[in-house]
Amino acid sequence: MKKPTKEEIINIAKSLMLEPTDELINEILDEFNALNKRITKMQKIDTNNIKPLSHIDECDKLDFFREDIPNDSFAINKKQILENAFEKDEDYIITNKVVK
Amino acid sequence: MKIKHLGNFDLAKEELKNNKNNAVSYIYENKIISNKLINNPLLKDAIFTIKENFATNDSISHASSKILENFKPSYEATAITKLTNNGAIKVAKVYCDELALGGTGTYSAFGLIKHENDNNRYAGGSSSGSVATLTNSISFALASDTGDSVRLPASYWGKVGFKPSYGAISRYGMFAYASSLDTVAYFAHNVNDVCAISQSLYGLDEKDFTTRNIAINEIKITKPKKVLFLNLDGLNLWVSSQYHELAQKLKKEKIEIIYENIKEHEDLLFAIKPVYEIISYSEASSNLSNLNGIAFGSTVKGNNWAEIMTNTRSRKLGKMVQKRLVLGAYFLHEKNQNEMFWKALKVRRLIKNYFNSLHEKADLVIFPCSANVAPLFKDKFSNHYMEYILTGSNLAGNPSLSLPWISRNNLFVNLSLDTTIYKDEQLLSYALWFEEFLKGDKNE
Repeated sequence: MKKPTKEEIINIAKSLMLEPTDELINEILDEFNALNKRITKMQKIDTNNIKPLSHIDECDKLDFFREDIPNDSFAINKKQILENAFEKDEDYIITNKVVK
Repeated sequence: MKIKHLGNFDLAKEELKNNKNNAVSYIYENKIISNKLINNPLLKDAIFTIKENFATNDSISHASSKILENFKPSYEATAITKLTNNGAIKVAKVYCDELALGGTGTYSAFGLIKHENDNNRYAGGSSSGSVATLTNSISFALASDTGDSVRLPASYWGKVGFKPSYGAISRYGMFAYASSLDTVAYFAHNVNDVCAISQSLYGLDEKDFTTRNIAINEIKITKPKKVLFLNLDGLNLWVSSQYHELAQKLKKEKIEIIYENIKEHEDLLFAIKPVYEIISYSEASSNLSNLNGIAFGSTVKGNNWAEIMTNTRSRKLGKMVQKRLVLGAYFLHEKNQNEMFWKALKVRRLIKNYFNSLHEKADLVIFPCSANVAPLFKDKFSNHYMEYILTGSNLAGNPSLSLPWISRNNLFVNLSLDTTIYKDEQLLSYALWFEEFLKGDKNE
């Protein structure tokens, strides 16, 4: 597989809200070489007519006839939310203005 | 089944307070007895530790990451609730590799955890603090296994480690790393205790839709009739000769031994690592996007929301985590998705099918957990499949138990005992027999 360019990795880091420092980007590019050897080998495995496995339990659950019963037993409340916020008032989490 | 090795709360507390191996994050000063204790509890007075990646509602739960250094969940992980309702007593929370990513014991944001028996060696991870503190004063350690995070360190330290079938135990309150692989798992001193812990933890939970009912209550010591061995290469000579000797000893017990020639499927064993890397990093890059510096956890200030997020994630997540997140997003990138992410999911199915075919040939598949004892920090990784063979059962979802087997210079190699998915009851029944058999073998 083609090695990603520095620019591609920088853009991905930025999209994940991570600072694309030289140190981070260079380490990723370095690691990619070893990783790519393993991946290239994996890609040679014949997967024609093989479906991707995304879930271990592939049995469909037939529960769409069940009653819709609301369950708030493990919902968290405002007090609990605000307790974990860095900046807050009595009702809201405070952060910098989003729309200017 | 009732737990046998209880540990001792006061002795455990003393040891944990004096721990110099960066393993202990929080100590419970007093015994807390659940007020919802069930009748006839299986784990009465058993002292246990909690890996940092479980939510507790009585203390900060930071998963050994600076980005959660002030996070105080308002909820408790289902696994902890079930253990304490069964009479178990929590004594401490212990460090792990950051957010349970890693696999070496070197990635906690709160310091390196080493092997106690040789400080130049890896403790193993990500459940490094759990294994490093499991002395006789502690009954068991609640942890998690996404790649081999319980079973490989168990092997390095000669403890019993068990990863149940995927879906056996609720993951609610266990911080998500790679949701399709994450499994609640645990260390203990013997197989009986693993059985008692399993019987306390298994079952449906409406808070985790991937849970299902898996039989666990009828465990009884059972001698297997047929055991499958693998003709692995890459084993250290000492381990290899012990493995073959074991087959001979089992034959004498009138157990049928089948040797599986894995050569023609070696490509699938070598694919375990890249498939795991692609799937787990991709799932992590999605799961960990909730760590945004605003709603909960640490916040590093900035001029706008984007700066707050970027400053927080860049300064509070460790380098290893950042690298995995970027690579995960790269695998998921529209341009690479087909040849990386989807390809890995297809190969995962082939690996699962292959493991299933092995499990179906015998009552039990057994093989060494690693090629040799815990590696030295200076050792280079070879990328041989023996470095990550245990991860196969995370990809296939089957139960897998790491059982103390051989030792040299106070360093250990365990045996991995594996069965088909959802045959946890049978696996533990055979494991009880194996434990007795190996004990007898040592006394000869």
